[in-house]
Amino acid sequence: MDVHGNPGRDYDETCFKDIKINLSAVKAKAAEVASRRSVKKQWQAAWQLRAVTCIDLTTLAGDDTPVNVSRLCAKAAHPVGKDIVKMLNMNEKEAGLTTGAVCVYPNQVKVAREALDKCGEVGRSIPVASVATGFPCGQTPLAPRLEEIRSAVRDGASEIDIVINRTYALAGNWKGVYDEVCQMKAACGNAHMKAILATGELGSLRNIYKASMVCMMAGADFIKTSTGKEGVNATLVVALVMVRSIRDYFALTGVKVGFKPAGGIRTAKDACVWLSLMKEELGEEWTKPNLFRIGASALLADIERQLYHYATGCYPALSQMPMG
Amino acid sequence: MAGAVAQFPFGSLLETLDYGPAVEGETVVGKWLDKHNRNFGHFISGEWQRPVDRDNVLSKKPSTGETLATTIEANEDDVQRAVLAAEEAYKKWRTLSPFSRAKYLYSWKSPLIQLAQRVAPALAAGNSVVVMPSSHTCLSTLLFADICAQVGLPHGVFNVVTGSTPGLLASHPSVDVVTLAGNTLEGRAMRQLIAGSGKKLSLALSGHCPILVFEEADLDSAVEGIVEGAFSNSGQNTYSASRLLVQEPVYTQLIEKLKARMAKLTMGNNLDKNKDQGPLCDAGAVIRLGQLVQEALAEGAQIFQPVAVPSGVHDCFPPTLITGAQTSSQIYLEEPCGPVLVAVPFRTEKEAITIANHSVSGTAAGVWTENISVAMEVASLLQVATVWINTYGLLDAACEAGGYKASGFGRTGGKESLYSYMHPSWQPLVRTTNSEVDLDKFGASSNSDLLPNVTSIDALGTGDHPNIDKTYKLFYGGGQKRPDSGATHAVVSSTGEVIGYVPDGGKKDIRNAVEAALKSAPGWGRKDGHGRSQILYYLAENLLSRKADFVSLLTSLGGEGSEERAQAEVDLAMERLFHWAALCDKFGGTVQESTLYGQTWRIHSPLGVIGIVCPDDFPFLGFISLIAPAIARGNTVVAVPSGQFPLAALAFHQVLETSDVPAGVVNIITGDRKVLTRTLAQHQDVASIWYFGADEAGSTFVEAASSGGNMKRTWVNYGRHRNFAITQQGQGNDFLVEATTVKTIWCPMGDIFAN
Repeated sequence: MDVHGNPGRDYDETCFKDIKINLSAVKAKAAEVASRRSVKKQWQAAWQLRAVTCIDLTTLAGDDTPVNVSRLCAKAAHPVGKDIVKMLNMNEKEAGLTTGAVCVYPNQVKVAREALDKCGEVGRSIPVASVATGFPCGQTPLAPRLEEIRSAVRDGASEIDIVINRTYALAGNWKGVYDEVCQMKAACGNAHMKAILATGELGSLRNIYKASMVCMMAGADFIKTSTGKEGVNATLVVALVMVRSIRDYFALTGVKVGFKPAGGIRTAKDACVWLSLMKEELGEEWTKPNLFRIGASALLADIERQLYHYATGCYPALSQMPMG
Repeated sequence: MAGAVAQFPFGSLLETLDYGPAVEGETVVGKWLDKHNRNFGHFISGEWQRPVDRDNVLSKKPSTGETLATTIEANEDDVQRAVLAAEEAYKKWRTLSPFSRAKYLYSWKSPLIQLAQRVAPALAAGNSVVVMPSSHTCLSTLLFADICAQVGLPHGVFNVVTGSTPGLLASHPSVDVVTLAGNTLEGRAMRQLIAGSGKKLSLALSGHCPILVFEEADLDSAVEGIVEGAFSNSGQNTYSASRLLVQEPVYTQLIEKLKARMAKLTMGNNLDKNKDQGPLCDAGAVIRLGQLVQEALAEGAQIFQPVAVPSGVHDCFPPTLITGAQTSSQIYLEEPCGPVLVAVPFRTEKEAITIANHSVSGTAAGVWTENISVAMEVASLLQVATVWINTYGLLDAACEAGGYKASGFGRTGGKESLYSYMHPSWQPLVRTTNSEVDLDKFGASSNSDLLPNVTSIDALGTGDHPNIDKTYKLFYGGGQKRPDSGATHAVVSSTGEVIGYVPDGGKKDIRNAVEAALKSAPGWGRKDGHGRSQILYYLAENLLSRKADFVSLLTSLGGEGSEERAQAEVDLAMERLFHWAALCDKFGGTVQESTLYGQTWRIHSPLGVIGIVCPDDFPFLGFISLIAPAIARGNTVVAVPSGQFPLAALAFHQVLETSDVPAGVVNIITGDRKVLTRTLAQHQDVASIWYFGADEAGSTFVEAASSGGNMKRTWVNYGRHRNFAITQQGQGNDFLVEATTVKTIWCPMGDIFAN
């Protein structure tokens, strides 16, 4: 993780103040991203396996308990069923693939960490990501929001998904956003920080770009589209604006910041489109879990089914796939 | 099992994340070709006809050169059969349709979309159609023919003859309408070939289109638009962009972004979905483009070609960006018809317009800026048929597209495209009989008889009541001017009486008049319609106050009932002025509904300078009926009045001068009408010629001469009489259509995407 850690930089409004973004043109490009490229056959299977390694396997619900969190962790450690691994003739290294992380609420971090550690070496290698800072709305005072981070880190989270202050963002108080995110980054310590922009609540693509830049300046290691709880979640339109800001930040600083779309990505086909977007807009380096994550819960099951179909030529029932 | 085992293990696939091939299946196409034994004849009267002893033309797969099918080269007999079939079908087809006007259509270099854009309105207007597709790309047209046969289109309504001699079809006497999509040279040849025949022609010729990027643009989106505009279909569309104009402050940044984007392009088999660019249609283009780029390099330009040409794929030319070239460089001047884009910086909006309009072509342009004031002004000032604001390449059947200047005339799409396939119901289709003309000689030297006519001396009136003859002057640039020749000639009445002397204007006078008209064109064209209407009303009022003078002038022409005739003519002339005054602000355009989320406007723009050669009869009414709609819609005119009786038109200068008509908007030149016509038709600053002479040859000359240079629009009468006294013929809708050009402006909208 440290290889791409983002040290952040001083607040500089000139980097984003005059940004021009044309929604209709971005929409046209997004439609093209979804259809211009195509992967088939073994290439498709390879892309799907790559997507698995980029998943932040997520459960964020009021009724989360150790029962379902442990189940999720076991699935993260063995995301593709053994029979499929065998049919695909994958070697030992390939068979050891895991999801990118598991992502839970702060109260479930300890449970998740323990559950993963029980899954042997592959499990121990999987980071636990915790949402924090008054997720999903961030409408609590700063002190408890920061304390949430510290507590999650203490409990074993090595990645923290913070939410930004939309009250500040919509008012144009970008310095306020910056200052808060800087403090959150400090609270994360060595844990990696993903900044959730909650794009569905930012009103314009220009605001999304500004929020992206501000978070990267404040030291975000990843920028993430949404909590999954907003009306509009991860769309390709939003993604284009965010990955372009990552490109601009890299040009500015030489620092590579990662990207995490979350919410609404449910099919293997979608996952391949998102990988293609990263490859085209940022390059192959940004298609690996250190710089690309997909926040999802249902996606893995669909990928597994597609892999089964690839291996056998038949479509399986969902119940045939080991439950996560 | 899917036989997948052979594809394991993944090996490096898991590491590299390559796309792999995603090739479109060819099975269905193969079956269709096999059904025809890969051997096509013509499609005539609903069936495939393959006459023997024709030359074969091979249709090849561009990426490999492999022969896909054999087609045949049409000869005269084939064209004759196809046209007869279409003629027969037309008799029934026209009755099925409310329009039923022109008969046949001919089109070439037509991949499917171009075919559809032309065939659909032609059929809808009640025409039957014969198509000759480009021999490079004819298979899609043949497939379309097969589909027509299956959907039950009556036999003969749609016919295809294959071949490479479009002239054969276009010059067939039964063809009434010719439409062509191709390059400028082909367009010029076609204009010349059918000049004077009375056939209606619409041309969509190559574009050389610019994309303008202003400092307030969304640069990342602009880059996508540029790549799409310049390199999609390997830059071979008529609306492909080949010039990139970028405002200085963002030039470096935009070029960097564009280069990074271009590096991501892929080239290879055109059926592979993961290849952005495939082979060119024309193998010769690869060599030509290569030379062009080498020349640019030698001239000091920088060449950026980040994509390697794939081995094993024929006729590929890589996407190419040229920087460091100037607007005078050959690479900038020559239209590439391929994936080559030349980037040039500009300083101000005004300079951007100047550079963009400094072009013989005018198909389309892209404008990138988030500043709506800039976007709208630039869109309105660009001399092109289509402007895409913050987008590129959008087409819709409801929206006009086509050309301006040397990119042609006539439109595909929208209401205007239907006009191309129809004619006014009062005006039967023309068949010229005496339209031959010696293009080198027509109007090349003056025939004016300038010496005093001995017999007319008596008529001057001597003795106690000598007539004071009046010597008129030319009128241009807002003032009366002596002709360059210094000569005048007499105008005599029907009884042989000299009633005045008119100047013998010539080439130089036309030159001066066009210069004056050109100078006043931008200001007059931009003047608000209401302002123009006030001036036309004023003209009518002032004519009213001088009515007696004009009646007496026209009466002096003599002949039976001349006074009543003169009275009627002046009355009608006033009516025309009132009519067009009212229409100054009522034909600006419409909002066109289209598939776009945003606004698509069709704007009726003025053409610029119109040369008007007035009819000999209706010496005053004809003149007024023609100049009034032209200036009402924002054009400026150089008018050549009636040859027999130009006095009333010349005298009109007094009315013009007292009615606030700006200098140069109306210019009046008399002299040898052939010389004046020739000069106007060959003047490249004249956008359109209206010719209403009594001879067919003059119309032929005007059409043929317009094939050169700026490819002017023409409106000619083929020697037919037009009764300007009748409302339909004297102030009909066709005047509006001829006085304007349709510009389509696409402006997508939207900023709302979520909360």
